[in-house]
Amino acid sequence: MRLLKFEGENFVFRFEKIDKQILFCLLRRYPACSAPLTPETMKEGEVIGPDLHLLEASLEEQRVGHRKQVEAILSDEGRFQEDELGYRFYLTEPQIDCLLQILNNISVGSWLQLGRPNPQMGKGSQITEKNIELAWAMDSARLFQSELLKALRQKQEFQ
Amino acid sequence: MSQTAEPPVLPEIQEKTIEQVDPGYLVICWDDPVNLMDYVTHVFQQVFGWPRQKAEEHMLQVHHQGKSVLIRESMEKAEHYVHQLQRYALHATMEKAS
Repeated sequence: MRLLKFEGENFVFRFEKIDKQILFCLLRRYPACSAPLTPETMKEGEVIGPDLHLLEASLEEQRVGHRKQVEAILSDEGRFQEDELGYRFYLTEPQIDCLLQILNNISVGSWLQLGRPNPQMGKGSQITEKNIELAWAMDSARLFQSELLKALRQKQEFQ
Repeated sequence: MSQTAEPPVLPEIQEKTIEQVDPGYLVICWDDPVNLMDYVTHVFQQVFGWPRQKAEEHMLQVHHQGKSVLIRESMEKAEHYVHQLQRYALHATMEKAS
């Protein structure tokens, strides 16, 4: 996946066929986590700050919107245009922001399920045959996120 | 000609600024090992409308110092910002400013 060009309000990405397959496999994993991100040391019931019930309601509302976005991408409503090299994938800036959040949910959710590995603190993840899919999902989601963020940066520098 | 009356001497009243009366709440973002640095910058831009440079400065503060105080606001607005940051899966909290 890489940015091809800006076309009106759209960012146009070059997708190889395998990129599309990987993205679709990833998106089917959404949502990978449903609770707000809290530090490992936080005890159950400890207050984050705002009303946790309101926050959870807000997150649920967000998930409904994101699920619709995921379904729209998976149903391929004109966002992918096939050509001899693979696909051109069209996204507007708000759609990129939404896709970034979806991919981040998959990345964070996979990381939580892997036991919150933190190599900088000497806490590596134990990769096994059972959890290797989680490690793959976390890294793949981050790769797509990196390309989307790079495209946003390029647009800002271009303006 | 009547004499002008001397104004009464009032005790000195210490003026308090709005911040002293209501110091408000601090919105804090904490470091985590999972969110990409560029993603954190993007979120700060989206949530606060900051230019890239300011968002990057706060992102680097989070990364190097473990946390960054992003903004001081009223309780309602601070709650709103914490919600927004949590919606992006950042670890954000609020605390009463002193």
